[in-house]
Amino acid sequence: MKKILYILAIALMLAFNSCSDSFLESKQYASIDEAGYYNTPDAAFKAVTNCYANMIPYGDWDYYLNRIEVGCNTTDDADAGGSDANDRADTKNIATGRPLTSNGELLNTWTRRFTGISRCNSAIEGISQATKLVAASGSAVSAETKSRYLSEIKFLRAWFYYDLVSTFGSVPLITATPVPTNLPAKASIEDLRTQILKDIDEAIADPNLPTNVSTTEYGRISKYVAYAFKARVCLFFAGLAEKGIIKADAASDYASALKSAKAVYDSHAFALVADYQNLFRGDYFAGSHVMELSQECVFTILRKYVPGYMDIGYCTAVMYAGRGEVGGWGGNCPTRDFSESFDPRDPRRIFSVIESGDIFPNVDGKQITHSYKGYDNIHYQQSRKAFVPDRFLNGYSLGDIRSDWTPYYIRYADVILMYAEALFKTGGDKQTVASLINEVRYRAFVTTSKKDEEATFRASEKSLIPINDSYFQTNLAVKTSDDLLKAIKNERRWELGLEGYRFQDLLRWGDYVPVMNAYYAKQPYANKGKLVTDKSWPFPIPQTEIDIANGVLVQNDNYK
Amino acid sequence: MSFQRWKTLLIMKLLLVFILGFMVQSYAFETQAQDKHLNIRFENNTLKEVLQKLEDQSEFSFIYKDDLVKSFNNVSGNFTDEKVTDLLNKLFENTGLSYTVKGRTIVILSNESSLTSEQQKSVSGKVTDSAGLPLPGVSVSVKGTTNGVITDANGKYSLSNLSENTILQFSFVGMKTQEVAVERKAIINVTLADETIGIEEVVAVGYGSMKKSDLTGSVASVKTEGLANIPVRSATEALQGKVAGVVITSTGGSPGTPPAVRIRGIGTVNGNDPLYVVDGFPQSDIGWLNQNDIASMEILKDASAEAIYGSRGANGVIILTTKKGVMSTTHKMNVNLDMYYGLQNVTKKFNMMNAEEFIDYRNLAYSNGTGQAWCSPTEKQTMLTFLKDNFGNTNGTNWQNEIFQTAPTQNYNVSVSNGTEKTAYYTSFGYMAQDGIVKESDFKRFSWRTTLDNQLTKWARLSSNFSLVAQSRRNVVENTIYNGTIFCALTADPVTPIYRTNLKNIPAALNGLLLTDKIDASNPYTSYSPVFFNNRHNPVAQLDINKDNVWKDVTFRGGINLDLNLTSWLKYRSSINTSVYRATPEYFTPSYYIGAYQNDVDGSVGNASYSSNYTVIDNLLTFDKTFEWHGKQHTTFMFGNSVEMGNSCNFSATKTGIVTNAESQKVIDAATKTASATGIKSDGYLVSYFGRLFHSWQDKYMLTATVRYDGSSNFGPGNKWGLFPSVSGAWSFGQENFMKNILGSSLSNGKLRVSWGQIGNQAIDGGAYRSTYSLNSGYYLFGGGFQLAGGKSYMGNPDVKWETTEQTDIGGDLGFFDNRLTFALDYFYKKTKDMLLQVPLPQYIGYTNNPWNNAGSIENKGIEFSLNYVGNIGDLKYNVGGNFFSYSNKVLSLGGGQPLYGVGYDSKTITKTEVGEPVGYFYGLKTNGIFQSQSEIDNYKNAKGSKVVQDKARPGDLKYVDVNEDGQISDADRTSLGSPFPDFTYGFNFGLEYKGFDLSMSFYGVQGNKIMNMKKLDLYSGTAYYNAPKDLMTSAWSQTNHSNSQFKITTDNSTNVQVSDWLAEDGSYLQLKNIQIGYKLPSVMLKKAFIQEMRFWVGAYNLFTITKYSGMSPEIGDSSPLFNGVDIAFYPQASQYLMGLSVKF
Repeated sequence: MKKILYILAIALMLAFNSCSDSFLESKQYASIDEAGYYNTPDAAFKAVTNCYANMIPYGDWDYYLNRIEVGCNTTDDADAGGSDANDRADTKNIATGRPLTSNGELLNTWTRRFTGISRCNSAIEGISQATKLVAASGSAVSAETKSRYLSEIKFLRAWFYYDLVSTFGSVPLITATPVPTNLPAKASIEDLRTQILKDIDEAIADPNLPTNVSTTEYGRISKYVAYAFKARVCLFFAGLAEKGIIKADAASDYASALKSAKAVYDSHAFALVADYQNLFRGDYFAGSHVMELSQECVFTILRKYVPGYMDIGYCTAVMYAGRGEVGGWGGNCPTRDFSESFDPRDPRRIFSVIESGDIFPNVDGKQITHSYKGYDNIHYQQSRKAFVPDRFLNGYSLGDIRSDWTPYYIRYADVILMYAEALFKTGGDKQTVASLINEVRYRAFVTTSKKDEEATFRASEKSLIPINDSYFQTNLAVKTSDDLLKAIKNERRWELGLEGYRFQDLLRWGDYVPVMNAYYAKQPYANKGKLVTDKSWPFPIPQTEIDIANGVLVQNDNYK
Repeated sequence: MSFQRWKTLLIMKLLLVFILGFMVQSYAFETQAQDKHLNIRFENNTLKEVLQKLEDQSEFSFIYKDDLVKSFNNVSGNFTDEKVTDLLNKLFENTGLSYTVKGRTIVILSNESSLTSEQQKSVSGKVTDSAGLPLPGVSVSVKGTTNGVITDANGKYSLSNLSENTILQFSFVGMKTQEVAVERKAIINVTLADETIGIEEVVAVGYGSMKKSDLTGSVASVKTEGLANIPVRSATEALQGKVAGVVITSTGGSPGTPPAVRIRGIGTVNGNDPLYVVDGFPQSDIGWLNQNDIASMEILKDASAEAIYGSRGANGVIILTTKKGVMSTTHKMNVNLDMYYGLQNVTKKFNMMNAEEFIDYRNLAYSNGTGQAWCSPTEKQTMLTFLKDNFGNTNGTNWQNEIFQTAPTQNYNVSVSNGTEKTAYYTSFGYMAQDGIVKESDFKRFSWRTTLDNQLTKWARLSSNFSLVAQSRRNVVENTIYNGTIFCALTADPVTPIYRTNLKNIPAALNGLLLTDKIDASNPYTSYSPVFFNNRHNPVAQLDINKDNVWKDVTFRGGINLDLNLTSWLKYRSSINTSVYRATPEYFTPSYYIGAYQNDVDGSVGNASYSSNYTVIDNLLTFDKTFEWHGKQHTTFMFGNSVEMGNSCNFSATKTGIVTNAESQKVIDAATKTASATGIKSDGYLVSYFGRLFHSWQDKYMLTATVRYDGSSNFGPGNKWGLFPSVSGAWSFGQENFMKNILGSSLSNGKLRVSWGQIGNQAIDGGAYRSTYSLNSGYYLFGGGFQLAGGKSYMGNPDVKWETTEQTDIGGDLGFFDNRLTFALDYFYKKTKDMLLQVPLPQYIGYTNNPWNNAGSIENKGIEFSLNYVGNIGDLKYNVGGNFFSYSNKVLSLGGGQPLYGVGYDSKTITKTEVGEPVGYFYGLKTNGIFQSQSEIDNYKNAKGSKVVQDKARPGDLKYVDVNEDGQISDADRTSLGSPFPDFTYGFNFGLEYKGFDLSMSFYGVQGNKIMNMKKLDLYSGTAYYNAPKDLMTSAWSQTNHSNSQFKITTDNSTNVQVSDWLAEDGSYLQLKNIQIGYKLPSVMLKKAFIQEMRFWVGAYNLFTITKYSGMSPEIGDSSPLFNGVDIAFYPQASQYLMGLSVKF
């Protein structure tokens, strides 16, 4: 009898254990499915923000720094620097003009931009398909706002694609989330150009995209940002077309560049900061010059070290400061060639380059004499534009990537010079061209302070002299009789030096090969420029990508 | 006396006190037992019931023959305050029964036999085991009758009423039965021998056990006695070289590192770890299990054995049975004490350059690479003078000597077990402590395990077990090139001093590097010098800084089994097992500034909690019947179900802003800034139904079939359930008469086995089938303030399902001369289908992750055999054994056909996995010596005879082979550089025993594999960025040294330091894994101390390795098959020297 009871018990236990499929459902924590996501408050704007945020991952190691490494350290403006001849080997490897297909910097450029493009595609798909988007306040997202979001994302997609094309030439063109079984192959530069301009133009044409943004929306895309960027893109493609590198109508691209730059210029929405030094003090948008900066800065990625929100600030301030007592890693070392190219009277030199022997006080009042010997810095110079004086640093080391240092992705001075260049290329009025260049030069020579207010001693200050309006007009202003194109090229180097544009400028001017070959002849250190030929660009597509894509993706012909 | 040694002594003393306490107690127990007074009352009971009651109340047990007492069915009585002996005297009055008391055993005899005994012959004697120890409880019976006695606690017996032609049978479980003719002897002393590995041995199989002779699958059974004294954390590691078909590789010498265990090759490119089942409880690892607690290990190698574990058995199953107390009438308490103490040393160091050699090396590299020397002769002299002024010589720092140490390892274990007729227990306490050969790394484990068995009724038994394991571990920065401690110690320049304090005559040039103004007298971490000439960490400082990071965990595991013998042929088992895991690691990074690359001015302090709970409920019904129908038929049928539930919840909290680095500040509340916390949760479920049918006829023909049906929460709707069948058969041809006619009695076992089955694998991320979005993926700053970002966070694949492995096995077992010589041979073919794989996608499609897929198929086939012989020459007993395993691994398909690349070590592609090749073969450029001259470069031709262009080549550079013959050296020329898989692995071991002395040795060897020595890329790069071994200066190519293997020294060596066969080395080795010499004290000496057995031993582990490999150790394992055999400055193996003591009371 007892045993029968036990058998009954067994039957019950087996029954208990025979579970249904619902038992086999594990719970989902912290994340949500796609439909659910777009029903949550602020989901669409978060998705837009996610596209912007692609430019700030991991303290910008693989976004901004990488722009400098590829766009500046490969040129006559600055060396990669680092602890030693072998440190930062990838950057030095690009600088020779013949990068390896395994180059890590190129892989970073590739990966980070494509990640951004993927976020843009995913957000465009999600936002356009979502039926009931809710704003943070709980109210429904209007059709106008939705349209504005889509325009911002399209701009960013073009923004990322431009970085890719200017580095790798032809790359896969992806405008919708791809499936792994159908990997996209490369598109021609011409098709990429068309897509980039299409995205920018659609953003510009969107009546819901504001012409300019208010201070609370600062950092978001406006029509002026889109125009300014379009000018940059068109100048680039026009340059390549002019040199026969791509098939496009150079004249029409120059005309588009002119129209776009002029639109920004004529708006009077922006102005140059009177004192060039205020652009690079070290406190940036957290400091007292914030209103001035936001007048000149057309587009930026705002940075502010606020624990809990941004646990890491920009790493630039550590990466590109001198080693030893200065507390940096010694990257981005300006060349002598660059610093010596300045007019001795040009104060922009002191706000671009620090030399060994210059003295800055630290936060405790101790005078630190900068010494750039003892590591891989043959020029004994560091960038002043990336130097954040001690008093503006929240701590002082690598663990502390903690400054409010902010990059200028599009600066009004750049727009003025682009306007001048486009005007010149389209055969515009030479007097206007000269006066545009002089607008930039006037600020530099006349209204800029001759004293680095953060420093105790700057050796290069001694060649500076007070310059008034008449001295400027007589001795320094560009004249219509001058070689205006050369003047524009020089002015871009001096005004925008070390900010990451040099490589693209040289490339579109067709100057990359002669300039770097000449540089190697003068300064052959680390074989910089030695292997630069017209086969150097486009740079090679990362071999790991070609390996994984298994035949779909092919290497650029010049690196096969 | 150091604190460590003092602590060790203290522990040993405490253990002795503990043991003595036990001894005194058990001695007191016996003398008191007889004087104990009982109160007992019974009415109309059988005598048997009465005796049972007495057993329950007293400390005595009774031995009697059933037919002697069965006629007394009506016993009544009421006794108060009676001694047992008085009570029995009253009880046996007029019954014709009498009794004798032997220790705590009371033997009931018939008066008749004792009356007549005087008329006939009496015999007495003592039964001992091979060690000379008395054997209590041995049954001594008169052959052909049911008469007999059982030996007492001292192994003694006496029998009377015998005739001279009587034959006595001595039998005892686990011993060979012996027969002795009485003849005229009055004293017969007998020594019983251990039963040699018999084919009647019972082995554990999934959800049950089987006679070894009935096995139809491939199951390796391992005796665990030899394993206990091997100084490793995990018992599996001690199996290295002992089981054919099982490859065990250390994944690093860091204390507590689990080994990689691979049973019959690599069946999948993800998760190849076997399933462990400890007393029925599935586990993913057994590093927690005290080796001394393991009674037996069975390794299930083929599908027929594994398939009963369904979705979890694809990589093989290791079943462990732990020790338990034995229910017996003798109430013999067993106390075992095992301990060892040892010292460990690094097996190999590199002979690195000293300061002067390094400066010369760097000058050469710079001269060759940049056209100008690195430093002037004056600057060199300044550095050397500085070193001489401070350290008395110019050698500089030998970083390896600073991080390595001679480290102690120790293990103590005490176990106590006992049993009455209805209850048995086993309890053990173990402590293991191993320091690392790199300073500031260690592992400690406390383990306590108890099993308790209760016979509730004749047909119901309740068994329970629980264990508590507490572990702590400290690691250095391991197995990484970037700032790994080992890597830093190899690469840091020797000019850098360890400390920057108390230095004199610091030249200005070095002062800028030392940053002496960063020294903070109140912060000892700032006394370390930054590494001068490269960007790695000062390894000594790193050890000091990281030393307060401690991993701690505690796990409770417990289970209850209820076994019901419903009828003689039907059994039911219900069990519930649960584990509760709580890890609470502590982290502390002091505030310090050493240099630009090594600093943390804020410091941080944190705690984390990892908790998981895991419960398994099983119900099994087993039918087992033997019957006659055309001979003996034996059928077993088992079916059951199992439910597994697991959940985990992890969180961690940290704060930065350490005010001072004092001991008291190592707590979150003491930190001042940036509190942050993270937390995750997950859960998972598995439901299974399974069954096994076994049938044998005449013990000659056997068939087993199993099936399991699993449902898992790891998969999405429609893909949750999987079915895993297997079938196997065996023919015990040794039992056939015709074989006996051919081979006579020399063949003791002969069996042929064939099996086939399918097994599954579900080892993927729990939510792999779901695509998810994150509502919070960090902040971004707009003018108005911080804005949250959100978006796609995980790319799922809704179609992902089980991976299935199909395996066929053909094998045989032979045994000769009473199984003293045994031989087993197996051939297997294993094919994995629908392999679960995160197919690597190119970055440009921009996925957040590589989704899981059922992509591809892999096959493994191979043979394995083992041979063992146990013999003796007089008193010399010996055993020799060997095993051999050879297999090949091939990828049959990879989903879309896209190869997988193993990309690691500074983003370099090192391995490739593609169809037709083994998993993760080494992939890179082939070299053909070194360009000796410019004309050789200019005239370089490929096999086709056409001109080859090698970009940037200079004399002294590696000459790459134009494999694709396109006239250009490029990535397209990369090809196979060899396989990480050996041609074969082998092990052999032997043991000797002679009059108390014993010797055992085991060797393990691997033959024919390649290792990618990635460390060479940095140590022999010739760029002088890092320090290098001394021999580089003489071996490198130069105008005067036309080397064909080591390229030129120059800072510009980027084309030479690519992945090529320059890094691929022969990884074959033979290692003396373990050697032990022991001595057992003669039992006569020990008897007075109540010690049964005492053995001292000395031994060594990893004593020597014969290999051509140039790295620190050829034993390179990686948990990912895509990086198998890739050496990236692993924590090296230690050789260990040990001495130990085992005592049985």
